Amino acid sequence: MRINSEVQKPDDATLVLRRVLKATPERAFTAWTSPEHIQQWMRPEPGMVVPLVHMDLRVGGKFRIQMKNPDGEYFTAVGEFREVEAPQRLVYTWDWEKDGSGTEFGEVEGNTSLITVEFFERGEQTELVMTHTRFATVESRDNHAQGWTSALENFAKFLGE
Amino acid sequence: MVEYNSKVLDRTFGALADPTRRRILAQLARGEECVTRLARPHAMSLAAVSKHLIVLEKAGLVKRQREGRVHTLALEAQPMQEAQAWLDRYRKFWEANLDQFENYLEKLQEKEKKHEDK
Repeated sequence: MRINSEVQKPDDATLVLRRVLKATPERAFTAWTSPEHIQQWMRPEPGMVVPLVHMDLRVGGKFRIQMKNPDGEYFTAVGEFREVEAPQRLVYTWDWEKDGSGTEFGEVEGNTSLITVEFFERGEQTELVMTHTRFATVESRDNHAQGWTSALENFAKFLGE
Repeated sequence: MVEYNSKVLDRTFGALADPTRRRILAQLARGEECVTRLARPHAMSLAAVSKHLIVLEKAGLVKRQREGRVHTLALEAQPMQEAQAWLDRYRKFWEANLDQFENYLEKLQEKEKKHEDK
């Protein structure tokens, strides 16, 4: 675990990840949203490749990120942009395709969640704050998110004992 | 990706999205309680507590046992574990990706510096 990263902020939202990046917000935003950059960094597991990235970076625009592991299994994430405010803020839905091996948008699992990514200038660095929630709209998330991260944490501890 | 039971998650997160219900669960986490004792610290009527308990029961977070007129309540672990697993899946996914993203940005920066030096 790196020192400059932090996961889950109790009493805030669902799942919050923070990361200080050695880059300007502009550079970070571009790297986060450009297909050619995404293909370079998106790698949830070692050996994964990103064969295809589709990005229509505007409100209502859709994206599709196709990932493939060394066993040839596809993991294809899709979603729609809800807010696009370069270089500070991005809000988009997130879902997985059932199959994911095609080159076009396919049928999704339907467990749609919502991601908010914010880039804050911190001197010469940028703090990335990412919030991933269960809820399908920003309003719903804000209504529901307060406090339950800590509730879950407490219960996880309780259940683990 | 692993499939999660969407309806179970909806009910779990929905049930947790209320401060009174979280307090009730916190109370139950310390041990079994009967309904009248649960109502007391929340300064609520029994009817109001019952409404929250029904939500918690439907979400499978609370189990009710009846002995005559006394209803005893206990916390149920399973749905909470599923909710935790849902969170964990994304935590791992994004942590790994943020590591990659950070490394990539640093490489980009180095490349550009070299370019400027030339």
